[in-house]
Amino acid sequence: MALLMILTLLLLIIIISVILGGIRFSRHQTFISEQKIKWIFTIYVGILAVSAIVYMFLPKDFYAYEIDSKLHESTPAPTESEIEEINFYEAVADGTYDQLEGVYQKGKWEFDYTNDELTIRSLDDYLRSDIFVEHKEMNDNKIEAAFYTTKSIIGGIDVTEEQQLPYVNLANNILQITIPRQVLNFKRFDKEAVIAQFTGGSWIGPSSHSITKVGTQMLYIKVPKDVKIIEAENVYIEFVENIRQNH
Amino acid sequence: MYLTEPKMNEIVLKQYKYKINSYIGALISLMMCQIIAMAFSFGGSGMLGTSSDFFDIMVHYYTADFVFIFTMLWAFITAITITTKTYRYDDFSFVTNRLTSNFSNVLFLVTISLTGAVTAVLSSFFLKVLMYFYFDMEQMMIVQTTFLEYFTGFIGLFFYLLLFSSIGYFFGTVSQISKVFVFLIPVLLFGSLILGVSVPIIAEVFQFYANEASILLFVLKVFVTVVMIFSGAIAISNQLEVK
Repeated sequence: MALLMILTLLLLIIIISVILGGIRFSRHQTFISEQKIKWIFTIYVGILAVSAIVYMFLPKDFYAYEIDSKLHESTPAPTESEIEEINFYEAVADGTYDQLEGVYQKGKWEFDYTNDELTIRSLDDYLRSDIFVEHKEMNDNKIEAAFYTTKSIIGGIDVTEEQQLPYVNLANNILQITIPRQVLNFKRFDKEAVIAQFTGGSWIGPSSHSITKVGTQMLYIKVPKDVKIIEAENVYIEFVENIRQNH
Repeated sequence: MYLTEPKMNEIVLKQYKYKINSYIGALISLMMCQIIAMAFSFGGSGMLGTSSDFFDIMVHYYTADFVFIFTMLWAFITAITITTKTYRYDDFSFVTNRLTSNFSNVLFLVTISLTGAVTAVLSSFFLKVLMYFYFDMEQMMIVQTTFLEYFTGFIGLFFYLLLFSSIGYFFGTVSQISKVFVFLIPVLLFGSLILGVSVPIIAEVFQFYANEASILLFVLKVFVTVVMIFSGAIAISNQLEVK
């Protein structure tokens, strides 16, 4: 902490010296003419002005939004139902899981399967998602899996699109599932404090008005009627039939 | 006394023009301050990290706040500078009295505040453009600000700069009365900063301006304040002797 103070003080001294040097510079020396100095400054302002024009023509992606600020978004702000937490367990019990607003189907897999047993296994240490298995009405020799997710918004940034799909693969009577853990880096150019003071938005640093809501995910697997499911140790499966019975 | 008595307006204007021309170094130091500030801006103004089961997310925040703050510091110090001996003596090459001196100084400060505000706001665009080409745009987003919002911010910054330069001018003027003030005020300010002792009155005064969300009210507040401060400085300088 002391080091930080010293550095800040040093910086302050440097800046002040620069400023003090400024006016004295122009008054007391003669080797750079006044004209040249004017030119240097004019060029500086010119560069800044040109950058403002360039900025207007840059393509801009906006998917950052805040509740209270007067932003004009090209992507719409999330609706109430999209921000609400969705309980997949309830939704599966109701059977409404794929019709709810705010739930998006992100991936779909289909495999032909004729065996009577299926092991479901995770390649991770543990599986971080709910897995629901439903036995279909008939033996159509097909396994269907679909990945559902709700919106993930972190610090006002909608990261739902960035989400990678889980890895679902069928080999040797084993359905292997992996949900990758992602590292996302975002850079965000915010409003300056002075501008935000009069126009809303964040004052210092990340806005406290920004929405942060981590989405929930689930994998819904439909298997043929008579297939027996074997859970590997690191997997916990919710059987839809049990859920609907107990509901 | 004279065959033709020069009008005060003309003298003030003449002095003002002289100052604009010969104090142009102030603009160079503005430029250098802002460039240094922009370099610092590349380090980001803040960070937010979150993790969930599925994501590790780091959001780095960037603004041109450093440029704005450095510009305010520049306005403050430049204002102090023009009250010092060397610059006061400049005025004696004109037919002058303290009043015209002060008026031309005020005009000068208004002009450089305007310039500082323009360049600072433009630097925000410059930074954005620079970052667009320098960073991977896949993961860069910009909180959209309309032209009106930028303009409002520009007005706000202009008045902030007026405020800081008026304070600097007052401080510089007061320091002419007694050298004591030259040491007293900085020591008080920095002492409280370093010791971490917060003087509640300063915080309240700061909030009086900084929490004002209406640009019109803000302009009014600052305008009245600045008029008062400059008047005070002029009144004090009238009490001083000729040199």
